[in-house]
Amino acid sequence: MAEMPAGPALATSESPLTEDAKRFSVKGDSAHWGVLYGVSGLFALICAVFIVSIVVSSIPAWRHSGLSIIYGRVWSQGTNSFGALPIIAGTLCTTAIALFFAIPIGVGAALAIVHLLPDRLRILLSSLVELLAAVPSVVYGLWGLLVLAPWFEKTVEPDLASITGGKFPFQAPPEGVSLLLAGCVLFVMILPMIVALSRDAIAVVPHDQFEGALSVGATKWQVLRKVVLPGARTGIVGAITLATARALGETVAVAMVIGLNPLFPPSLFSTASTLASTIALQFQDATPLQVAALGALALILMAMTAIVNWFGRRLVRGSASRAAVT
Amino acid sequence: MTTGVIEGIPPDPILERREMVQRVARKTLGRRILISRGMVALSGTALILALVPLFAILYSLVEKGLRWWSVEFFTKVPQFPSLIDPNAIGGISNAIIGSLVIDGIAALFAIPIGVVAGLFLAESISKFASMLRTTAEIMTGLPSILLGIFAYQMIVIGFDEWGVKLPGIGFSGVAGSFAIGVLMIPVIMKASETALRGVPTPIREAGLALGARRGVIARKVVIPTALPGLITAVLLAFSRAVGETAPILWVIGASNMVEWNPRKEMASMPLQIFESATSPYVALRDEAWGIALFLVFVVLVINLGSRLFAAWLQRERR
Amino acid sequence: MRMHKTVRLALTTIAVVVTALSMVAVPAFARTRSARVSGDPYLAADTQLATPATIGGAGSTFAAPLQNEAQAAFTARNTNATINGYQAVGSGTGESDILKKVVDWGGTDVPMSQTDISSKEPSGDNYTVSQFLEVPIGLGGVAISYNVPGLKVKTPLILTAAVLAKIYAGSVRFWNSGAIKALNPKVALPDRRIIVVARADSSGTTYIFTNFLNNAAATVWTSLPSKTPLTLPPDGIAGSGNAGVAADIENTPDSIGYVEYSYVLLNPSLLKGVAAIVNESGKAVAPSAAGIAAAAAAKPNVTATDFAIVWEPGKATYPIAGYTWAVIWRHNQTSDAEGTLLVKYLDWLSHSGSANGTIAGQDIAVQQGYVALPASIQALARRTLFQVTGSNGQALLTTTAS
Repeated sequence: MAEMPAGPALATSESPLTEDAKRFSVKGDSAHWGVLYGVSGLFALICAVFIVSIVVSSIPAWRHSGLSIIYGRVWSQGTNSFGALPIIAGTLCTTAIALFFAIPIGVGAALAIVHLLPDRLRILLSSLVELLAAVPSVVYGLWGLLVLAPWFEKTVEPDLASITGGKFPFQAPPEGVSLLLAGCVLFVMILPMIVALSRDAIAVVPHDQFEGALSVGATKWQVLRKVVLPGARTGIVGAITLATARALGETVAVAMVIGLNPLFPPSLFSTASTLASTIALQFQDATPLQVAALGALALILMAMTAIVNWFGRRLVRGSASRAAVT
Repeated sequence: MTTGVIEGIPPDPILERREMVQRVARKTLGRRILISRGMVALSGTALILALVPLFAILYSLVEKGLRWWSVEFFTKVPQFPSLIDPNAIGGISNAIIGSLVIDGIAALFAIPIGVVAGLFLAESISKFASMLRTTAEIMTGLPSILLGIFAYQMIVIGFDEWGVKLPGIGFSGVAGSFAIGVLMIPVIMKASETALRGVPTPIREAGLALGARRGVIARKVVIPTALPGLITAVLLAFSRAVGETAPILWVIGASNMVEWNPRKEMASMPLQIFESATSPYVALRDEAWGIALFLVFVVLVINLGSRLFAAWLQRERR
Repeated sequence: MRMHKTVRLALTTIAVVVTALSMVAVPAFARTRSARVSGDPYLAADTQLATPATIGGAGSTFAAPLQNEAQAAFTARNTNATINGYQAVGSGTGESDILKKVVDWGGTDVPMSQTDISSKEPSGDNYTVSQFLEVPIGLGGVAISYNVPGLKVKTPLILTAAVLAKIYAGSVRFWNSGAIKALNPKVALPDRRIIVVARADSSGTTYIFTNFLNNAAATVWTSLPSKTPLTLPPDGIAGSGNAGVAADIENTPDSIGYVEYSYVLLNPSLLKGVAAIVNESGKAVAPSAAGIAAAAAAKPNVTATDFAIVWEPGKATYPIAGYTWAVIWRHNQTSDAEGTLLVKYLDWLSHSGSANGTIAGQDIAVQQGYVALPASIQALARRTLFQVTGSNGQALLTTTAS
């Protein structure tokens, strides 16, 4: 820290230099840290109240039904029975369908954008995809309900049913609103996110590594597979984690296209329900016990998101340590 | 051959290995090139497949929505169609103003809190900071409907437990602002932290060397340097908040008039899209496309504008 | 595309400023009210407000088309009155909202009972049903709408309560099953599954429908009428609100569901498939204003505790009809100005215009596909509204019109 050499005439007891010395110390400038800690503390307080209120509000439900909330199969407000297994299944199913399509198509598209396109097209398409990632989810719901649903019901679902001859998993009568439709709407929603974030990750793999691999005679695909993808692994896994969390928690778009039926969906064409859409539907008119049950659903949803995040971080850490070794 | 032309020199394992590798490579070249071409083609197909639904949505939006845009659409308040006049639907001026007020107030308190908290994360190495960072990550991944519940229970209904009493003010724009603000804060926090960390350390140290204290350095050196990144972060978070429906679903009520007072019930664009799309009136369901197109337009303008602005700021610097 | 940076900056700024301005300035100049009708003797005497006030209601989707139009008409004539948009969230939520005091009235098709109050009131409160008043504001019917493509009939399908009960229970699963064929022998019914559509939310319309099933087919439908969502047969669809059910029926072939009649009228494609239900006198009657009016006429002395008009006798009676109500606090919980606006609005809403051609709420109801409240019920509404008290215990509604 800077300190002026003591001059001859500064004899006052509270020398400005001592004041400055106090402020220059690493922990000094209490005003600055005060503001920082204060604001961060305020935000931490809001988050704490939020999380605690969800946990506490769900306690009556856990006391009423215990863990059967998670494995019970009947969710009925009329009889106050709270078995959320079909709803959890619906959530997992729609997210799985979305990821099943979005991961290969998203990562593949990102690879194509970074490595297969000429410069101008790359910038154009990247910007396009990033801008599309900003489209609000209600617009996806609108499109899914008014455009995709009729098409599914008239064309797609009958075609799929004819593949398996009307058996699992396509055995229900085609209705439009269904598990499959919700999964596809989610797929379209998370696709730009995965493409944009994977593209960022793939783009930062050093070009020297890419060229170096080419120079020893590897084909383009070999380079992509053995150099680029592993290098971008952190970013891609991060992108998929983020997309999964979004798909799990998506409320409005899913509620518009899933049919809101809290039964176990026996087929991809059945109506179903997800955790977030059930909460959205039933929250306003819930008795205190039912509010608690919905709070339990919220808790389950938060737990699922946390597990996904933790899993993502484990995958990333694995690759980081491997990279450190090589 | 590694044994070489000159007799008597022992074979070199490295050269041997290199020759073997080259032999294998030559043999497999045809297959490898085929596979590579195939995968490249697949990659390109993935790109096309990725673009198809996205263009489909844009096309639907423009095809079905553009025809609703008119002076009346942007200036009149909504009307409900009736059996005698099924096409009388007015406009969406109340939703536009409502969105503006609600998102504006949310930004007003979320941006300072988010940026300052981001500064804290960038500057502090305490345990509290890492805990805060984890909390922010959790909060960004949360379904936004939970924040709507939070705002509903804190502000609309009010809180009267554990000795804390918060009067509920009923359905209102502020409740929506609260939900959206709390949604924005963690996003801005994380992005500002990244932007602020990106300020090179020598610049900070230069400030210290000149005798400035931390607060002054933060205000006059770090933040201005990181400004392009900060602005991008803030505007991107804002554009995401503008499109959110779930947090404001139950908390802002409904209003068919232009309402500037945030303590009263208001309308909002994403909510209006949802209501119109699920309403019983055929004309309103069609109008939802027009509102959706406008909302997407606004979001894209904010996004584009933020990038252009940040790029301009960076150019000035050079 | 390399523009000079100043040019680019200028263009960006212009774009941003123009967008910002247009987003603010243009709507700000919006006229928020249409022209006032002046010289209206009925309204001038009784419904003009002294001070500005704002009220809002939420609840029954049964009443939503009526409320939407009526509110617009009322506020157009009354400069001091602002009524927030009616939130069509379902009868159950309407009751929850009035208990939580976040709305001024709760719309419900089933007057609130003590059980409703006890289960939904905020914890710690102990409200009794005597603290509330139920004002009848609308009369309509529940139509059974179906969407069977390729059905070549000019007359509606005939259905009975028993068959409907079996369809909703899942025991009748195909359109061409014996039960339906027996009722419609001349119709070529397809061999396809019936897709059942019901309400996903707590609904007064569900209550009216299940009340009908319980009264008319008690051996088949044994559960008591209730607002809670029905358990659907497999592949059933649950729609949110009457609008959701209407949309689901319209978009799903081979579906059948129950919706309030004016929703059918609002969606022309649904008009092709409205069932005629066999009534108590054995006749198959399709929903119509006349049929619903006949049901109301068969039971003139409706009260908040004896409110059902399903399965009424009469050859022309439509068997699934019902009133819709507004639940309000007996002792007004908001300011006197807001309470006065509330009672004036509900009074205007529940009455027909005077003979000199003024328009009141029930005239608008007729325009929207409802049936005007019978005179005795309009009088009941007014009597109920006279009991609303303000901050000093005074009656808030004062009117000299008949």
